[in-house]
Amino acid sequence: MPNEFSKTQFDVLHEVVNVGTGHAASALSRLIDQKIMVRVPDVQLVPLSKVSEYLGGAETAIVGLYFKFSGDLSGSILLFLSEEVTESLIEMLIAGVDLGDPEETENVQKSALLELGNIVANSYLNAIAEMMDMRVLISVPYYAKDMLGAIIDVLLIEIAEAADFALLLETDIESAERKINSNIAIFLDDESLNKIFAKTGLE
Amino acid sequence: MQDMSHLISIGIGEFGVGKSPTVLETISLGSCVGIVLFDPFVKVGGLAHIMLPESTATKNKSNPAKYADTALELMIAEMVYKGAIKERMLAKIAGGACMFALLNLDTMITIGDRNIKAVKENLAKHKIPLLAEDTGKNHGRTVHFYTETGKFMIKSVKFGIKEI
Repeated sequence: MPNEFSKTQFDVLHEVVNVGTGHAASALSRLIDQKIMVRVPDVQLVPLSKVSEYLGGAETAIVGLYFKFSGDLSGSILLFLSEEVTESLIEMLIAGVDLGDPEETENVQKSALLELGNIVANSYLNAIAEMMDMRVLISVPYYAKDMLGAIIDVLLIEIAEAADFALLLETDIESAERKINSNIAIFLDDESLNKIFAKTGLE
Repeated sequence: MQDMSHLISIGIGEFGVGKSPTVLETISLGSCVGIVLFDPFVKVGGLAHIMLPESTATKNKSNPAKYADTALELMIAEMVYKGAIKERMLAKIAGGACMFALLNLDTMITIGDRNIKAVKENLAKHKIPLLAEDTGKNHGRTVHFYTETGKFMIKSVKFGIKEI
């Protein structure tokens, strides 16, 4: 991983994230039948030890949905939601479900979130792959509910094998009517980055 | 409420050493492992937040503190520099969780276990006894080590605070 990227390379990554986010937001919007706003995505090179802070604080309690992808592009994507957002989303997705048994209800709620994550991550990644005329295979979602720092650990460790900086491509998706802030952070390995730059005429 | 005026916060892939009354902290250990070393006679303590098992497995040597083997070597040296004696050192560890419910086995998802194993092997190599551990499972841990008392406190969202 280079320690810096040129402005043009950053612009390309911005565009890539824009496309991904746009599609992810549309998918989410259809799923929960709400208008969705997307904040301008952020592309930053962040030292590993600062990533948690950058994403909102290592001790923030969140629900994280983690996916690995491979094929023409490889890396991981993490969708994360605060606890209140998770409750709102569950309410919207499966309003009024109460199976009597709290454990069963929790399972259904978790399934709904996994499905939502699946749809959002797939829209995001497939949009980018199509834009690049490439193919990606996405894993099933991995779910964790805990402190943000502990959840992104796996991602940071993946990067740490080769670099000490994370290229963070991060966006906020918000619903106008309700607070549905969610963040999507995507990590691409060096080879994938090079392929993207090559496709867009940059090296 | 413990005195936090001498708090050193250690980030991911870092380590720190301090003398009493220093409090060493590292936040939200997931698959990473927090290693505490302590010389109780001179009250010098160290805390390392390691991410990967060994430095020899990769070409990226720019930050040795993120590997269990090199982090321990560096931390031991730093503690000795601050007056500790290696033969008196004791260890406690926390972390190495598997944060995501396993849907299939993937070498990266089991990094927590591999980190724990590497830390134990390296401690044994240095002949430093491991007094206690709170490792594995699938929750995040924030830890505090008090050099004044030798207390190692572990905090998690699911289980509150415990001392080991």
